[in-house]
Amino acid sequence: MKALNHLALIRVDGGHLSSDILVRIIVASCMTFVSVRTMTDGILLLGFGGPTPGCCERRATCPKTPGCEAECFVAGILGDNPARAARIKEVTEHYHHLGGFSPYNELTQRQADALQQELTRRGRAVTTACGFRHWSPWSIDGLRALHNAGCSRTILLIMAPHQSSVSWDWYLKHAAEAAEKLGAAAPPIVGVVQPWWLERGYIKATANAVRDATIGWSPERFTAASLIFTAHAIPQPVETTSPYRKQFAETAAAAAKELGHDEHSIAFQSQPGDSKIRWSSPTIEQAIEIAHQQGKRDVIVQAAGFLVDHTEVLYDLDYEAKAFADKLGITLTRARCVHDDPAFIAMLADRVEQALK
Amino acid sequence: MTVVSATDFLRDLHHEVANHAGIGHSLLGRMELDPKRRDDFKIFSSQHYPLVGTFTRYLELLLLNAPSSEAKVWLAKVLVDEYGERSEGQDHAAHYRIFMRACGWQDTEIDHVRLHPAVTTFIAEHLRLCTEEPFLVGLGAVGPGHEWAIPTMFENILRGLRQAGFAENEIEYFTLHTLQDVDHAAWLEEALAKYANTTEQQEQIRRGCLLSLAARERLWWGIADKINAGRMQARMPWANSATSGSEQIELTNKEFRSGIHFSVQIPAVTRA
Repeated sequence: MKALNHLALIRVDGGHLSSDILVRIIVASCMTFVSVRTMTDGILLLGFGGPTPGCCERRATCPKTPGCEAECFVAGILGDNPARAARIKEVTEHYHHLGGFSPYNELTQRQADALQQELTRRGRAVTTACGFRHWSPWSIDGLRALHNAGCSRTILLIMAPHQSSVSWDWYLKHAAEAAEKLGAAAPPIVGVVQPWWLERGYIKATANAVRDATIGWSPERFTAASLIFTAHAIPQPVETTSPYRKQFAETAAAAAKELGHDEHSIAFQSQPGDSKIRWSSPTIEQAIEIAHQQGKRDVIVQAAGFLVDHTEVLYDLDYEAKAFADKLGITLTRARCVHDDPAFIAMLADRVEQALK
Repeated sequence: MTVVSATDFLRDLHHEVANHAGIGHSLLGRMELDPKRRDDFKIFSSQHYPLVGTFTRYLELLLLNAPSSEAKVWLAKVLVDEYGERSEGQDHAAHYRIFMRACGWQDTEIDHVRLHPAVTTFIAEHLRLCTEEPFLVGLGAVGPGHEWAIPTMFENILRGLRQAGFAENEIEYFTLHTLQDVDHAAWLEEALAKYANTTEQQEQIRRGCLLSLAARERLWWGIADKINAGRMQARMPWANSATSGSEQIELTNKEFRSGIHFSVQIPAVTRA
């Protein structure tokens, strides 16, 4: 369009054009055209985020002490409120137990890179970027990166498999607010990748994770084990209005079927200990307790509600839930999250392509 | 078993209230990190308003249940204030509607707002506590559960409101209410000190307080649910909300109000 306007202007102002000028204009027009055609689509992966080294520069009460990132991150989620001081301290310690930082951002970036590679392989000119809600790169940084990469439009991809207002809606709201702030400096948001809790690639990747964790097991041991899928607990008022629990139960049932495991259960993890209301249940501890009562020796736990092994998986399952299982004399085997399993990435690529249509 | 003195009991209860997740909900604590706008508060106000309009009803019902004239006097003092004694004759609901208009609501729209189930269950729970439970359970709910909690919660809300650009005259409900509740808390504390002398009495007061605060925690989650969904949809009307379909379980303000009934039940004679 820019090239055509340019051409029109010269025609009006220049009167008769020499063939040399005309050729130059046509070449310039084509070049502009080519550059328009090569503008890419942007895919913004929206996620929770985790603390990485460096100040978040948004917490007024930041202690500015070495290693304070985890505290600022947790306070940023729960709110800088004296009433939650004990909980902030408790969760911050989980991060410090694991070195003070979270691998979430790096692992999600790997998923973004793998998705871009897969779409490029399919002949799609796309650029992916991550935008997080609770740590940098924030959604606004991700949109800015897509703009700087020359993207003409943005598709949002929520990196959470199950929908509730505290994930799905909040992520979209966060991205939309970021786009509002950036104005013309953000490629317009034109679509959202539709939810994929039952998509084959995700189910297959979930099952692959369980298979990897149980390599070397006899079929008898695998069949006899209790298979538990977990997701983050959500508060009852949010669960009431969302399909979160239903979607998660469907994911778990499909993954168990894919594995040929006759029995499975769902459980919820990481509910705040200071909350006085009902959150999604049963908890992972209750599910392990039930397995114990059933005489199980093994429990296999796969965090299907999470996509990467970050702190809530590494601490709440590998440390807390494992300690609980140990006390009961049960062996807890934790299967990794789906990460950048090719089946999962291919499924995301399919969904992105649908959204781009 | 040694009975804790009323003073010590109230001190411990103050601590418990101050550290409750209902008081320190992330919706309130994140006002600076996640600044709210007028439109966010429009949704907030529509869900909070029914509570404002019903608080006096809790006290009126509890008054009927009060065991002595002395207790009635304490409650009546609070009630007179709630009716508008120190607010130029405007009761709290009328004050709140000034704020709602500043948020962008027309008076005629308010009745048709769909209420999150956490809002309606909050009110239902308090009506129950003030009528079906022993008097001290109800007093625990409206006293420590409300009057001790509100100044802290409103302090956070006020921070968010000022940041969103509301003028002081638009948010007078919150400033005035915060000041009045400091007085109400002191008056009710006098009553509590008088009644919190046995283990049973203390348990009843604490139970009412904690049930109220748990309802409050659910309420903030419900309001956050509404804000996230509503604001997302306002910006992206073409995207599906995770809460779509939930309106089937939600009553409008008017439906909820017209559904509240009180009845008198007379016990059947069972004497042999």
